[in-house]
Order: sequence, then structure tokens, then C-alpha cells
Amino acid sequence: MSDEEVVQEYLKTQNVAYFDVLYKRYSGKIFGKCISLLKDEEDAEDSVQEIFMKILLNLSKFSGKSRFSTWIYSITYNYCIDRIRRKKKDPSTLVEDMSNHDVPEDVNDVFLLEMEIGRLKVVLDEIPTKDKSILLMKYQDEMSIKEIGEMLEKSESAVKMKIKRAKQKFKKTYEEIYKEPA
Amino acid sequence: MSEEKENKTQKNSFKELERMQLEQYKKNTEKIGGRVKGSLGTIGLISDIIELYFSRIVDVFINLSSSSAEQNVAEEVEEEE
Repeated sequence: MSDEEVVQEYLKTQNVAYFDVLYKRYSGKIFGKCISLLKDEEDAEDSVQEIFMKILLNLSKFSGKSRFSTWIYSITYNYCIDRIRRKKKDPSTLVEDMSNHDVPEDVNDVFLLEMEIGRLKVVLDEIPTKDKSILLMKYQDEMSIKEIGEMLEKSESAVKMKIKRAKQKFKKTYEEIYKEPA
Repeated sequence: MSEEKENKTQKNSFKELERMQLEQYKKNTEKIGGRVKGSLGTIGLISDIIELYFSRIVDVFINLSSSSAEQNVAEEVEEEE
């Protein structure tokens, strides 16, 4: 059964077993995103619980225009960014970085996609949340530019620029940590 | 588009990291699952209560308002007499 079919069945029958299917399919991925963004296991656990309650209470609002995964990831990213903002752990989530208006150099996708996992994790933990989230959306969730744009309410060209900047930040951080050119 | 296609055929460390996290945090998600089910049960119970008693509460309000309206009419009639 596809996600969308499971959602329809749940809404029709209110049978918890259908919601359980969705939980089993997505809880691990959502937890992974929460732990990557919040960097705290307990925080991530509370967040996953609250995110699933949000999903449950808003399930009837899922229109099916986007993929179900895109819809729940958007709830997840927005929730985590909001939680960080409230805790003010990362001021970069509060304001757009206006300091760099230069066109960033193009970083090859292969550099990110073929990186050793340990290093990837270290660098992701070092870069600002806004850069990390957009890289996760593109490379982990394989969301299209259009889907990211709809989620962030930005134009496709703005999204492309954000991804370029995030990749450049990632590369710069990598070089700073590992003292070797990427 | 061609770039997106290309990404799907080559190695993807982001996906590998996701798989690794799925394994690493399996116990956490099982634990949270119990909590989510508990909340689901509570929500179900509340909605059952609302479903069961809501119509009765509405009836009570309708009866109350209609009886007070009848009382007003009766008082007006008495005054006129």
C-alpha cells in the first residue's frame, strides 16, 4: 500500500493500525533528522512524539498535491527549526545571512555524495542549521528544487542559490576541520 | 534534471548516513512508539466522549433556551392580563 492509500484508509476508518504503518515507515527517518538538527537525544525523542501528534491532527489537511514524505518532512524541518529558534541555540535560524552576496563557487555533488560517512557527519554537525537542512532535503530526502521551494515558500532560483551557498559553506568547513583542500 | 538523475545512480553518503542512523536509533523509535500510541489512545478516548455526549449537551442547551423563551412569553401574557 502506498503512503497516500494508508492515509486515506486511516481517515476513512480511524483504525490505529494504519497510523502504526506510517509510524513504522517514517519514525526512524524523522528521528534521524531530529537528532541531526537538534543534536540532543532527549530533545529528539520529545520532538518525534510531538511531530507525530502534529501529523495525526493534521492528516485530514494532507491534500495529496505533494508526496506524503515531502509533507511530513516539511512538518519535521519546520518543527525542529522552530524548536531551535525558541531555544536560541543557533542564531543563524533567526536571521537570513545577508553578509555574503557574492555568487558562490560551484561545489561538485560528487564531493558531498562520496564523502566518508564519519566526516560527513562531523561537517554536517558544524555547519549552520539552515545550510544543513537544505542539504538534507536535497541529498537525503531527494526532494526536487520545486518541492523545496514550495516548502520554504521561495522561488526555484532562490532555492538553487541557497543550495549553492550551503555546499560552499560545507566545503569551507570541511577544509577548516581536515586541513586539506576538497 | 540530468543532475538529479545522475545523483540517483551514484554513491550517496547522505543516504548511507540515514541508514546508519536508522539502525543506531532503532530502540529510541520503539520507545517513542509506545508514547505515541498512549497519546493516540487518549485522543481516541476524548473524541469518543465528545461524540457520545456532544449531542446530549446540544439538546440540553436547546431545551434550556426554549424553556426560558417559553417562560418569557408566559410572563408577557401574565403582564398583559
